[in-house]
Amino acid sequence: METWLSYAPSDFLMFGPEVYWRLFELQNRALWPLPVIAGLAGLACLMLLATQRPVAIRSVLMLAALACLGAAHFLATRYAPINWPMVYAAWGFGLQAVALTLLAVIGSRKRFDKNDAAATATGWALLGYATILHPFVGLAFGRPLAQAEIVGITPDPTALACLGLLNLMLPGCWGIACATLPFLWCVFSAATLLTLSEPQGWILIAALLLWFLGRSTSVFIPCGRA
Amino acid sequence: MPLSRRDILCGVSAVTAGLTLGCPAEAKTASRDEVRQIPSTQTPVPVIGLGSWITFNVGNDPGLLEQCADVIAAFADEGGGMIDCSPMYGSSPDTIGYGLERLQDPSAIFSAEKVWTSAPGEGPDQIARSAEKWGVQQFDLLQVHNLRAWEPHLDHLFAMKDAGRLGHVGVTTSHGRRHETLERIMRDHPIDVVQLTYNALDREAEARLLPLARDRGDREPSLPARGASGPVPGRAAARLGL
Repeated sequence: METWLSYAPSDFLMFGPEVYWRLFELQNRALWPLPVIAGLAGLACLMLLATQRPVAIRSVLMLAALACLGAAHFLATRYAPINWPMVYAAWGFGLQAVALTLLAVIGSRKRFDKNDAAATATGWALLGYATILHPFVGLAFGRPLAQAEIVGITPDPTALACLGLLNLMLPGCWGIACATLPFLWCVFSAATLLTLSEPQGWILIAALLLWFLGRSTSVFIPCGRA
Repeated sequence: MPLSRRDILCGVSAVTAGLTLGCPAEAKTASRDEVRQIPSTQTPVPVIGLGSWITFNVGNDPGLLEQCADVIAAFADEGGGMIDCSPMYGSSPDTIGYGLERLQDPSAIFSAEKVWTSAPGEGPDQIARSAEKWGVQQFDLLQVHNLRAWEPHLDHLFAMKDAGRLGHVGVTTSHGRRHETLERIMRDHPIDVVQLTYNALDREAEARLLPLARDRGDREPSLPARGASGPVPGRAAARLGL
């Protein structure tokens, strides 16, 4: 135990930043033009959610489940070869896809504009960031658009979109339970980025704080009422 | 004028040599032909080696695989010998295999792999997979990585060596950990090579491990100490101030 405590996060980092960012470029290139379609689908989801129609909400949840499978595909085929524990993360996103599918089938049918205002506001903010801004954030750090991280293709924006969606759809403890995996992923990814000395990790930390703020007033809602 | 990595390393080795040997500090750059022999087998190994932690873990990125293959080719062209890897290093063994395939004479490379699993029963399969990834029939050196399950793994490695399926047996530690265990292994087992932390910031090995390696190398001679970047016979370790 004492030996393990002497390790630093950098001791577990098996790759460098160039290799990491090129994963996204390779995935975008391999799946082209799917990244564009996925980005447009993300925008369509925002519009569908705005209608608040039950069928639209179910469709968005199903698309979110599909997005998780896309992230799992990235983890298993691109990330795992340079970081073998990502195989387990891929299974985690698969599990998240199952949870979202169940939510689409049996989940809440109510309108979410009656939800807690903070949860709704942060939900929209996270969804908007994940689908619209996150693909372009690399430009601010000097990376090409070819390395864009797009919801449904890569895990970070997909996890953030899940957190936002769950803030909108499922307040209370069930929402927190369903948000566990994307939350843990964002923590892990932020730690990875910061260990790589990539400031983008702070954006994930900020997003998690935003999610927490949105949840802070609804966390005590009993599960039965969620 | 900014200092290059080469300038810093030359300066550090000069300081280290001066402190250890009490001789005037003088930077010395290893020539391309400089080799040391592993005492137990008299196998010559160029003093400049090539590590693969992080740098060769490039997955299936075709562009980066090409870059790494170019590094391996340049390393071989310049007279480099030992390439070191571990199953822990992600796709690095595959990358090395990709690079070795491009070499005209890959047999000139001293292949140093490790066994890294807590389950002793998995060791043989892991070694076989590593050999497949490297594209080699057998390794010149296999080490028990970070002393993980070292007793059963050592038994297996010694059996492989006795059967002629392995050149040398070794153990490794990193980050200056478990030096007491390493010392015990060095005393009790006929290992050929050790890999340990030794650099300008961590010189603990000078106290017991390097002298022990030197003594064993002088007496038996069977036990070289190995620096971070290549195997160095025990007596040479003192001579070089390593």
